[in-house]
Amino acid sequence: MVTLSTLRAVNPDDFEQAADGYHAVSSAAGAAKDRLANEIIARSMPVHGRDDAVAGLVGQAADAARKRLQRLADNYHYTQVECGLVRAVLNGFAADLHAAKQKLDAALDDATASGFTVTSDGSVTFPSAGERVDGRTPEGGTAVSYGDPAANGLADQAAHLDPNPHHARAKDCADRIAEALREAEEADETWAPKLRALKAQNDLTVSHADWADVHSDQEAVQQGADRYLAQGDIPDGRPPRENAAWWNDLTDEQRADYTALYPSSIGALDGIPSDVRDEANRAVLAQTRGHYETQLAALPAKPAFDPYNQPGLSEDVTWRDRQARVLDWEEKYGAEHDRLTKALTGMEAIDRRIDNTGRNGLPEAYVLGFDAEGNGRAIIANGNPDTADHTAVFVPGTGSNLAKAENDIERMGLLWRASSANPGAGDVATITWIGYDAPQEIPLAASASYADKGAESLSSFMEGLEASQPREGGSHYTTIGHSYGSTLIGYSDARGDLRTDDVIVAGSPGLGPWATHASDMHVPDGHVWSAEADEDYVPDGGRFFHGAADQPTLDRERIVPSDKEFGAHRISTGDPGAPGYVTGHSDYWREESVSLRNQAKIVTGDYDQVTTVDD
Amino acid sequence: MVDARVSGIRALIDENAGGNTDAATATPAASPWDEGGRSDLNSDTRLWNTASSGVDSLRDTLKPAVTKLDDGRRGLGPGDTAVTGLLTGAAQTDVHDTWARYLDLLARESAELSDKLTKAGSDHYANEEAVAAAFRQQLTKPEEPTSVLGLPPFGVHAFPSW
Repeated sequence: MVTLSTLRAVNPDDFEQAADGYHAVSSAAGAAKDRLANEIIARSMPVHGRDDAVAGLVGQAADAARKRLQRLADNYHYTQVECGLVRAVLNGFAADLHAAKQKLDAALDDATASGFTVTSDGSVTFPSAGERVDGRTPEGGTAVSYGDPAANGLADQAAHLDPNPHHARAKDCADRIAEALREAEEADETWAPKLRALKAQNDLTVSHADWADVHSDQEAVQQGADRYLAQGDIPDGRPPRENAAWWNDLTDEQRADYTALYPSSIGALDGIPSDVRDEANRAVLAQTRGHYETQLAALPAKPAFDPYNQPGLSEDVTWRDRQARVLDWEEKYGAEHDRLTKALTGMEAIDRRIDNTGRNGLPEAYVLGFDAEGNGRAIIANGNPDTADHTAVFVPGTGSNLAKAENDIERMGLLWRASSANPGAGDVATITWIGYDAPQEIPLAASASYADKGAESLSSFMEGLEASQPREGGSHYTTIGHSYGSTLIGYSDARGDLRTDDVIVAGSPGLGPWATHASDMHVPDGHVWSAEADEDYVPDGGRFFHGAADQPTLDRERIVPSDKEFGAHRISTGDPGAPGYVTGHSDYWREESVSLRNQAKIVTGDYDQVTTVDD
Repeated sequence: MVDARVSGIRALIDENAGGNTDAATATPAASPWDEGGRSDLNSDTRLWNTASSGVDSLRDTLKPAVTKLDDGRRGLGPGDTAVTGLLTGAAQTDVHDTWARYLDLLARESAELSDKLTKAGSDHYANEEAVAAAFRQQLTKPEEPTSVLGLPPFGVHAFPSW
């Protein structure tokens, strides 16, 4: 029960100051985690040079040391996220308490102004007043507010019927006082358990269960926080410049609390700074991984199916019975098991990339997008696109999803290294953008619907990169599409709102029906590049579905960007027998390949150094 | 903060690239690994020490924050009305204590790591295996809750190992 004297005595500012303390800890912990990953651990990482020479610390001692440091970083990450939640809880409670106090103070002021006395239990005493009845002035009394609505209704009636005019007003004061106390009590009872759930652990292991707990803690906090900071106020599906404007208008405190309370929404906002998206998405990633791991552990184990009887097992259990058990398990748990393990594979790949910062020169990683639902989303940057001189965005093709992110993440690591090595490259960022639902199998890739649906997401993302650049002039952008990803780029470009300076398409089955020539695209003339390696059959196989033609015509006459007539610069993918030669549909980013090096030259704007097939 | 990161990583890249542009034509500048198959002891020592001072400096990052956390106890002490009269206030004092304890644990763990990193870069450990074992050994322990008598809970360190 929150008493009148308590509500009068407490100061919501004290809770806000406590909240500030947790915010300071959260920020410092985040900084510590980043320094460990991006400096301390990174600088010790092995870097393989020429002739098997290695710089950095190698061996079991170094590995053991890095493992300990990584665990420390995990502890700081946990601290960052949990303290962020504590701060939001305390701010939320302070806001509710403040509102209740304001209500109380207004009622108390009215009572005092009317010459009433408020007793310690909230009842309001009033003096005698009013027109004489039977020769006597109506007596004073005490107005009491009752919790029970029926009783209170009767008391109200009595107050209004009383010839003493003070009674009704005093009753009103008493009711408002009681309401203020009830609101304070409701807030107190709502927030206290949520706060208690945010106690710090007392060990150095940050387990999957710990992160799963953070996940459920956050959900609990979100439920109470709506009055303080509503999720509905976060822009949803709006253009990046609107998102950027919304973010800019927030106070630092609001930004911190929105990020702590609603990291999935904040992490998905194109147009806000990359380090904010990274912080939000890493919180989501850690929590989701913990959540999924615990769910997976809770599934019963798949029964072993051994067609031959084990010694000691009853002869009555035939292989048919065992098979039946396996099939039964498949029916009950198979789909769920599959969903969880696939998503976890993708999450592990992202975590591995984060942990590998510094290895062979990999720069800091930014998680610009993450979602485990459905095909999933993974948008991972090497280097910070907000401050880079050159930024490349890679759109993968058929079959890409969160589960298979590892390969696509690695490709951009390789492109980063190749691009950064170009003289005068400056700061480079390369981004793996698994930001749309790609067709998962070849037959489905015949449909344009995926490109059509995903086009807006790509446009929004590219525009968002521009919007979050803090300086004039900004970055130089290259958008790279592989296979169906190039079709998506074509659809994005056709919308007219794809913000990019260069487009590279590798193994493209076509850019959609609109561009029969590079000059049809909105990309600046001379800045469309295509690559088709020997034995890559996708361009020819796909041209009927995604190639362009002036009129509907036989498939042979449909144009894809690696055709000479299309008019793009056709990048060389090497010569047979010579070093750096690649073939097939999927090798365009092979380390040290001509193809990779050429792409790197485009990324850093060294166009005159690109080798083409039409020289 | 971003600048420090970027310049740190760039320094690493510059060191490793050695100013190389095209792999086929450039001659590598003198770099730590030109002496042969492995990096020499001096650069290892330097790396261990760099890691150690990096961990040390985390203290500078955390300390002001811990102070601010402590400042947040104003008006929310055990005898204050906010604590005696509000469930959330009472919860805050308990929650605060857990975070103070946990951050202290992390500070102690950092100190242990910093010390071991320095030792790894010196002659302290006999060989690489000993260094690895040192990092696997966990000296920093959470505070044990004490019983009424101030003794550790029964069963902990109560019996010598045979």
